[in-house]
Amino acid sequence: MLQSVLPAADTIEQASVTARRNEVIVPRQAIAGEQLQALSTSSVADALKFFSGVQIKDYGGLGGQKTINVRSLGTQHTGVYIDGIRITNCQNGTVDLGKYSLANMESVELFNANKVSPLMTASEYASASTVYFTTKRPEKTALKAIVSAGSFKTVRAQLHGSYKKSFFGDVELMHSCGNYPFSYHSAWEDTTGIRRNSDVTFFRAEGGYFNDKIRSHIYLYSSERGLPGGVVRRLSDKFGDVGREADVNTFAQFSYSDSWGRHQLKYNARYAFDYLHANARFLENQFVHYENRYRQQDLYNGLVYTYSGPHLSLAFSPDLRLSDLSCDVYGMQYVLRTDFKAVASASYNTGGLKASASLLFTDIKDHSKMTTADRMRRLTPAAHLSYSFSRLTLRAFYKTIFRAPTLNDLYYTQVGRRDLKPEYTEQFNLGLSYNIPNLQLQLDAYHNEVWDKIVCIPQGASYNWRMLNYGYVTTNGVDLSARGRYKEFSLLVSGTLQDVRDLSDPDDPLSYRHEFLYSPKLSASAILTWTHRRFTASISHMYCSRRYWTYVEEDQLAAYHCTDAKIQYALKKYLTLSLECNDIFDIRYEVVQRWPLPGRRFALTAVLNI
Amino acid sequence: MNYSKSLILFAAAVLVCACTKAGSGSDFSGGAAAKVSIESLAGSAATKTVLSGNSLSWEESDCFGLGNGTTLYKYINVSADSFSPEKAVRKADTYYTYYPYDRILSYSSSSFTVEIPARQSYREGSFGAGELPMAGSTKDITSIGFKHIMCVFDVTINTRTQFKNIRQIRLKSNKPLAGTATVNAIDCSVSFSQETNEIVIDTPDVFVSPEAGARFMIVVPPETHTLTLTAVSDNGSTLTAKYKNLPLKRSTIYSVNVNKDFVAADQDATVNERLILLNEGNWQSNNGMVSFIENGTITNGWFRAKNPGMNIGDTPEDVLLVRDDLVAISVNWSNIIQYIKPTGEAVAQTEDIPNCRAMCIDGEGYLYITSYAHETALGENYNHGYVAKVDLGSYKVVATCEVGYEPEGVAYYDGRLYVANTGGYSFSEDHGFENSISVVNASTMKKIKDVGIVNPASGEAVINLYGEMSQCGPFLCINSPGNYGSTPPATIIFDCSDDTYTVYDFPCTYNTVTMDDKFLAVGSSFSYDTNEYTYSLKTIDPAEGIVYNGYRLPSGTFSKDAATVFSQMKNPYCVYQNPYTGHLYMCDARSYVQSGIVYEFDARGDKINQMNCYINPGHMAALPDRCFKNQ
Repeated sequence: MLQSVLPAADTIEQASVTARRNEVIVPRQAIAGEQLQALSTSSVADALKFFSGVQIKDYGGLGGQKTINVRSLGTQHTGVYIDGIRITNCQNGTVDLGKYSLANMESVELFNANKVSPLMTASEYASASTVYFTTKRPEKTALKAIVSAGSFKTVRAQLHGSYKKSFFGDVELMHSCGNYPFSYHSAWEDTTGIRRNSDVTFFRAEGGYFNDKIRSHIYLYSSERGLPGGVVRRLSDKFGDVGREADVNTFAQFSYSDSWGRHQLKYNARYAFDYLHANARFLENQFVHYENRYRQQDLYNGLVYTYSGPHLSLAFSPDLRLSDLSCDVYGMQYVLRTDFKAVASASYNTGGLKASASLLFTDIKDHSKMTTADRMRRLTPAAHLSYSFSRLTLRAFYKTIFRAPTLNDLYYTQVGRRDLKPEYTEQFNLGLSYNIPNLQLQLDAYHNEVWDKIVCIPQGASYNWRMLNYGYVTTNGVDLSARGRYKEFSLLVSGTLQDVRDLSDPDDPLSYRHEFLYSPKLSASAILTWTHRRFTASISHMYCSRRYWTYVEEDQLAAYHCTDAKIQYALKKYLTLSLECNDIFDIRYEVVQRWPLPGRRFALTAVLNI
Repeated sequence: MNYSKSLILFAAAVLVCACTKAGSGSDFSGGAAAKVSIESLAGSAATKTVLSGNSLSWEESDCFGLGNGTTLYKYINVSADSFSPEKAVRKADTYYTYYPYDRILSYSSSSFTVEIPARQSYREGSFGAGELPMAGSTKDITSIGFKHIMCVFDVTINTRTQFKNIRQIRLKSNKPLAGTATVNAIDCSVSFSQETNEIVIDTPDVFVSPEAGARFMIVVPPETHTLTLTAVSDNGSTLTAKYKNLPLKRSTIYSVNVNKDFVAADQDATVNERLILLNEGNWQSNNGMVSFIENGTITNGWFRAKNPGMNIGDTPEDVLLVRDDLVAISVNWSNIIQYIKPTGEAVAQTEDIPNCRAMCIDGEGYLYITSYAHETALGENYNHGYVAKVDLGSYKVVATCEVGYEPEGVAYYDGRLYVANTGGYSFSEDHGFENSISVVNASTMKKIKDVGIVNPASGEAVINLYGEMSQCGPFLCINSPGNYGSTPPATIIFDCSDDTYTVYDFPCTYNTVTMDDKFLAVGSSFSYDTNEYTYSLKTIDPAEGIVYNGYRLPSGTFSKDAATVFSQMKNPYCVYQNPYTGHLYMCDARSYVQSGIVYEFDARGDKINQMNCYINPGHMAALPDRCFKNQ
C-alpha cells in the first residue's frame, strides 16, 4: 500500500505489486521518484536523514564521510544494497554514503531488520537494518544533460542517456573547493576560520542493461579529496594534520530471475574492486606521516529458490562471498576472507495473518600468512508476524544478527586483535500501519540491545589504541512516520523518540545507564512538496535534540534545526531550472563534535532534455 | 602495637641519650652523663634486660627503669611478676626516674596502681601496659618539688606527610611552669626560663613521620594553662601547636595529639597540596582540560577559567614546573607549548615544535621537548624525530638534535639528555621499533651516542620505549610495551651515571618517583589467558635492584588502601607522587569518554580523597608552596 501514496511513483508501483502485501509486515520507509528529485540534496545520505530512526554521521563538507546509523544500533549494522546486492567494505565495514549520488536513483528505502519478500538472498538477511537503493530503469530513448554550480565553488556536470527500456549510460563529473567558513564561540573560545583541505573531485560513470529477467549494472567511481581533521586549537595554519585520499570504486553486477508456476529462482553475482590511496605525507603535516594503498576485491554469488504455495512459501538461499584486502601498511599482509551464508525461510499467509521466519547460517574464515582469527560459524534467527484487518495492520518482529569483526578490526598493525568476538544485536519491534488513500501512518515501538561492541580504545596514551569487545547498549524507542497527499501538496513527516542507555559497566555510577553518546532523544523532520503545473517546490526541515558527545555533563552538542529548500521550474519542455538552498538559516550545526558542517549554501542547476 | 613499639623506642632513646658518654666511665650524675650504656637496641623491641658492669642491654618489651648514677636499681617489666618499689625509690644523689617514679601499690600484667608519696596528694591511676607514661628529672628527687609535679602533659606528634627528626621541643605557658624545678620530658639538656615560662628540651634527633609518631611527656604544675608547643626539626622547620586554657589537673595525664606538618623555615617545605592535572580529552575533539587540585579540592576547567577566551587545545601530553613562576604544558595535537603562571594565567606559547611530546629542564633556563615531527623551527628537516631546546627567556627554539624515530620520554642528567625512542607510531614510515636511548650533549645539542637496550636474559632487543619516564637521581624508569604481540613488555632501569641498565619482565606504563627514592610503576599488559588487560602495581628500588609488589611506603610497610583502590580501578591512566609532600595520586580514566577519577593518598598511604576530573587524566605536576609565596 505504501507505494500507492508516493507521489508519482507509478513506475515502482507496478514493479512492487507482488511485494507490496508482504512489505507492510516490516517497518519500511521510502522516498522515491519526484519527491526524491525535489529534495535539496547532494548525496543519498541527505535523503536518508529524513527517515525516522535514522542518524547520519557526517564529518562535514561534500568530501567528508557520511555513514548511517539506524535505531542507534551502530553504523556497521546497516546493510546497504544497490539493486538488491550488498555493497561491502571488508576493510572497515562502513559504507560512505557520501560517495553515492542521488542523481541516478529511482528510490531510497529503509527497512528495519530486513525486507520480507520472496527471492531474497542470504546476505539480505545479514544486517540489523537494510537500505536499498534502486537505480532508475530506462524508460525510453532519451538524452539528458545537467549542469550545476553552487557555493564553495561547486560545479557539476552530468550526461544521462537511455535506449528504450533496455540500456542506460550515465557520466558525472563534480568538483567542489570546499573552503567554507566555520566558527566556534564560547566562554573559552572565539574561533573563526575557513575549513581548508575539504575539497573533493569525483568522476562517476555507470551503465546498465535490463530486461524482464535480467538486471545488470556496471559502475565506476573515482574521487580525490582532502581529509580535514577535527578543528582544534592551533596558533596558526603553519602545521596541520593534512591528509588526502584518492579512491576508485568499481563494480559489475548481474541479476537473473525467473519463475515457473509456483517456483521462483534468482541468481545474483557481483564483482567489485576498490582502491584507496590514503596519503598524509605532506610537509605541513608533522603529525602522523602515512601513505598507504589498500586494494579490495569482492566476488559474490548468490542463489535463491522460492516455492510459493497458496498459504505457505518456502525459500532457500546459499551465497558465497570472497573478499580480499592487500595493503602496504607496515606489518600487515594479504588477507582473503571467505564468507558463506545460507538462509532458510518460511512464510505463512492466511486471511489477514502473515508470519515469516528465517534462520541464517554464517561461516567466515580468513586466510593469510599472518595468524588469522578462528573460523566463525553462527546461526541467527529472525521472525515477523502481522495481522491486517481492513486498513490497519498490526505487526511485530524479532531479530538477532551480528556483525563480524572487519579485517581492520582483526589485523591492523598494533591495533587489531585476532580474538575479537562478533558484535551482536537483538531487536524487538511492535508496530502498526494504517493506510487510506492519500494517507499512510506508521508507528513502531522498539527495543534493541547491542553487546560485545567492537570498539577501539586507547591503551596507555593517545598513540596506543587497540580493539576490544566492550560495551552493552540498549535502546527503547518509538518511530513515527506519516505521509499524505492533498491536491498538489504532499507531506512526509517522521519523528523518533528514543532512549539509548549505556549498560556496559554496572559498577560505574558515572556511565551506567547514562544516555548513550550521539543519541538524541528526539529527532523529527518534515518534507513538504508542492507541484503546480511546471513548478515544483520543496521545503524540508529537520530537528535534532541535544546529544552527549562524552559522559561529562557539559559535553553536549546543542539541539539544532536545519531547513533546506528547492524550487524547480520547467522553463521549456526541454529545459528545467532549479535553485536550491541548504541550511537556509546558516545554523552550521555539528553532527560530530569539532567537525563543522558548511552552513548555508546555494546551487543552481539546469537540466536539458534532448 | 605501633604505639607500644614507639614507646620502647622512646625509652631506648632516653637511655641512649642518657648514656652517650658510656665508654668514658664518668659520673652518672649531673644530668646528661651516665655510666651505663645500652647495646643492642637498634630499633627493635627488646625482650630482656641484662645489667652487667657499665653495660646495660634492654631486651624486654614494655620496660622502664630507675637508677641513681652508679646503679640501675630496678627495671620494671610489666609482664614480669616481682618488683619491690621500696627498694627502688631512695633519696640519694641524682636519680633518673621514669614516671610513675614512686610507689607502685599493685600491678598486673596490664596495669598497675601508683601511690605518690610525701607531700603529694594521694593518687590512684590505672595505666595499660601499652601506654606507660614516662617522665624524668635531672635533679634530686627531693628538690623537684613534688607539689609542682602534678600533671603530665602528654603530646604525641605525627606529621601528615613528612619524615623529620625533632631536635628540640619548646613548651611555653602563660603561667609559671615548674617553680624552681627543671622538668625534662625525655633526657638530655633541659633548660627552663622563669621569665618566659618556657621549657626548652634539646632532644636527640627523634624521628617522626606519618607512620611513626613521637611521644613527649612533660611534667607541669596543675593549673589552667595556655600552652604553646613548638617542635623544631633538624632542618630548622618548625611545628607549632597552641592550646588555650587547658585545665591541667593534679594527678592526671593530659594527652594531646598533634597531626600536622613542619612549616618551612627554609623555602622548600610545602604543606599545601597543589597540583596541575592534564586531562588529555579525546583526540581531535579539542577538549583537553587543565584541572587544579588544591588540598583535596579539584577545579576542572581551571586554565580556561583563568584565561577567558582560551582553551588548552587538543591532547595535552606533559606538564612541568620549569621555574618557580612558570609551568610548561606540551599540547600535542595543537602543536603548542603553553606557558602559564603557577596561578594559571597564560604567559606565552611556543608553536614551532610540531607534534611535541615530553619535556625536561636543565636548571639553567632551557626546556627540552621531544617531537615526533621532522621539521624544526630552525629549518632542519630530519628523517627521525628530534629534541628541541627552548630558551625560557625568549620562548624560542635555539637548537635541535635529531634522535631516534618517535622519541618519547626525555630526562636531563649531568649535562646530558637521555631520550627514549619508540619507532612504533608511524606505521607507514618504513621502519620498525627502536630499542635505543639517545644520549645528547645538552649544551651543544649534539648526539653523543645511542645506547641499545638488550635483555641480557633473552638476548633480545627491548623495543618501543613508549610511556611515562621518571627520573630519580641518576636512575630512569623507562617502559617498553613490546610490540603488543610476540615481544613482551619490559621495564628498564637505566643508570645515567654509567649508562648501564637493568631489564625487568613487567611493564611500567605509568610511573613516578617516591619520597624514598624508589619508582612506583603501574604496568598494563594484555593477558591471553583472561583475554583482558591486567594491571600491576610495583615499587622498584633502583639502587638496590629490588622489586616489591604493591606500593611500598618509606616505613617498609605496604599501602593497603592503594592496593584496594588499584584493584578497583578500571583503566589506570596516571600515577604521581607529590615530591614535596609525599601524597600519592592515582587516576582512573574509566571508559575514556567520561569523567576520570583522581584518588589521593596521604604519605601514610591512606586514601584521603577521591575527586572527579575530566576525560583521560594523564599527567600531573605538583607546585610547591614557594610558587605561591608572593601571591
